[in-house]
Amino acid sequence: MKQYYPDRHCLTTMRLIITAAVVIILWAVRYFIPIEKIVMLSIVVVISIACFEMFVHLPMFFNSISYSATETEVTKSSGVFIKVHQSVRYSSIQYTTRISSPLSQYTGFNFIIFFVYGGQLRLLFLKRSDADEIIRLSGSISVKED
Amino acid sequence: MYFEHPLKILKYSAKNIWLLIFPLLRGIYTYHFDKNWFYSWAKGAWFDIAVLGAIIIFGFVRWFFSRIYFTDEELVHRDGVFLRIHTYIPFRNISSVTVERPIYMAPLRAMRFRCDTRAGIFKTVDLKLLVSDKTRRHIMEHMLDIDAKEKIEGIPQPNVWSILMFSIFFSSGFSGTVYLATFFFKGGDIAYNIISRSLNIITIETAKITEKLVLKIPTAAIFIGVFFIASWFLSFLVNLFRYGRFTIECDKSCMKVRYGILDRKEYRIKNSHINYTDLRQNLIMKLFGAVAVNISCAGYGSSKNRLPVLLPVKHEKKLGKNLQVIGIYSGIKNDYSAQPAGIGSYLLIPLIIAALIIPSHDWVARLFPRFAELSFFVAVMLEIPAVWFIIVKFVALLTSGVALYDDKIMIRCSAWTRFHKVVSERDKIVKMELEQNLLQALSGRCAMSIWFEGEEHRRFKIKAMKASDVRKIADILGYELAEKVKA
Repeated sequence: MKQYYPDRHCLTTMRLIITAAVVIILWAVRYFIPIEKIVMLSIVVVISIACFEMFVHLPMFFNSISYSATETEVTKSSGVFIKVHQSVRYSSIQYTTRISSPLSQYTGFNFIIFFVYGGQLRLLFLKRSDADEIIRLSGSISVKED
Repeated sequence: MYFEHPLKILKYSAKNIWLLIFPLLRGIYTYHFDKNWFYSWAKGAWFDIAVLGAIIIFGFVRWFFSRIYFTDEELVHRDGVFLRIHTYIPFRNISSVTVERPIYMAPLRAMRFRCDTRAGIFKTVDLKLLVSDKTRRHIMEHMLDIDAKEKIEGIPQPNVWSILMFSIFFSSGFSGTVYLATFFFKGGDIAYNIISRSLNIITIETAKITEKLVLKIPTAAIFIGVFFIASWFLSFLVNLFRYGRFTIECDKSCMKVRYGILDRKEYRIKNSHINYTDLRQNLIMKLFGAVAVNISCAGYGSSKNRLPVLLPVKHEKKLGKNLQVIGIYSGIKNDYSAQPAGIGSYLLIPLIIAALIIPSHDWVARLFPRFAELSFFVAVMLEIPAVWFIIVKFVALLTSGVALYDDKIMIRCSAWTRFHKVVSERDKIVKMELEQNLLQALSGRCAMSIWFEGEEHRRFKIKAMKASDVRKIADILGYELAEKVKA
């Protein structure tokens, strides 16, 4: 059995994305809302939510995710407040989708979705090498690169 | 590597159609605030052209990155520009493939390709592509197909008569109404005027006739009636065009079904992935021994307004032995039947409904005397299906049951006004339920429900079964049901 953990690069990428989103929202708020008090309140609320997400929730979420793969099945453990364990046998996988961003080895944006009878199992924020290995372990598909 | 049909560029472009808001805003601005608005608008037309160009370029780039590959074992679809989405579908897991040739795409030789596996819980399509005829041919080379040497001869082919009967039985006023409503909404004022004028003429004419015949039917009721008949007829025509030219071919492992007059569809279905076969009937069909054979298989009949029909209306005795390969047996009798003593569980609700309609009319007539006539008409109109419902449920009581033979299970049951004869392999049962209230516990009866594999978790329920029989069935199927409810 082998354990896999989310790529920590992804946490940084997510923080950068959230920061960019916050900047755009704040710019829009300042541009469109003429009332200073509402602008200030919006700034405080948006920054608070972003800080909570970036420095509290996301790190906890990333720490809570782990994947384990054996020769017959893959298991996902996740959940910050409620722990969820999901297992899927490779034999029940009907088809697979792999989603990756450009430069995914640096961003950690590699996702695998196993579509099985009655649902799906999503493996999120994997390292590219881990994603390749899990796909190879699942045995049903070949890894293709552009 | 193959690309989708270039027509798909338009579909991808349409996703960015919202960008046209900028030319629109510019147009509104120049029209309202500029004296020489036409000159100013024409002067800045480059901006509109640039936006339109950007929309088409986005569509083209998206299309360019949508590619289809094959390996020895799987179909791979690559999609997405920024996020690369690779979907890998092993050929062995494909339950059904669909090729649809809409008539309006025929000049461009474009067609829709869909493939489906047993994954998921909703009737969603796993892979949907718009392909050219050439690409379709290459894809289909890798897909399951009928072996000409092992083709089963003597499969009953639906004829014009059976398609006609199917269209009559399975066309409904409701779906027709939906079509008409869509027509009204989308067709706008012109369609509205044409239809309402036609309906008015018909209604006035019918009102004149009824006056002459001294039938005091309210005009509103005639209008509704005419409206429903017209919508049913529309639904009938749609079904006729949809299921016309129906052909079916089959070997031991695969089935090929083609139908449609304007929008031609071809399905290839893996026989081992058929969850169950459902022989459907309504009361009239039951009286004449006719059935419509439906199947449950991922991807088959899952599109909007489609029925998973395999054989449109056929005489049950004429189905023949050749269909046994897909689980269709005829002449099998129930091993365990619903108990006539449990008549209450079938007839109680229909009887209450039928008994309440006339008193309801009396109450309405007393409270609103102006509507007494209309209320009487509505009560009579409701009483007819209520009595029909009682007859259906009585027939269901006499025919419901379970038969076990070979490795198969056959369930005869009813849902609303339809009768089902469901045939499947025993190992495709995923859940079994025994339901017993205190009264049923005293009399030793229960309701039995069974669910089969499939994306759609459908329940088949037989009421008024003997509890001891259900336990025996469960035992044969390898299920252990809890002990009897203690009264």
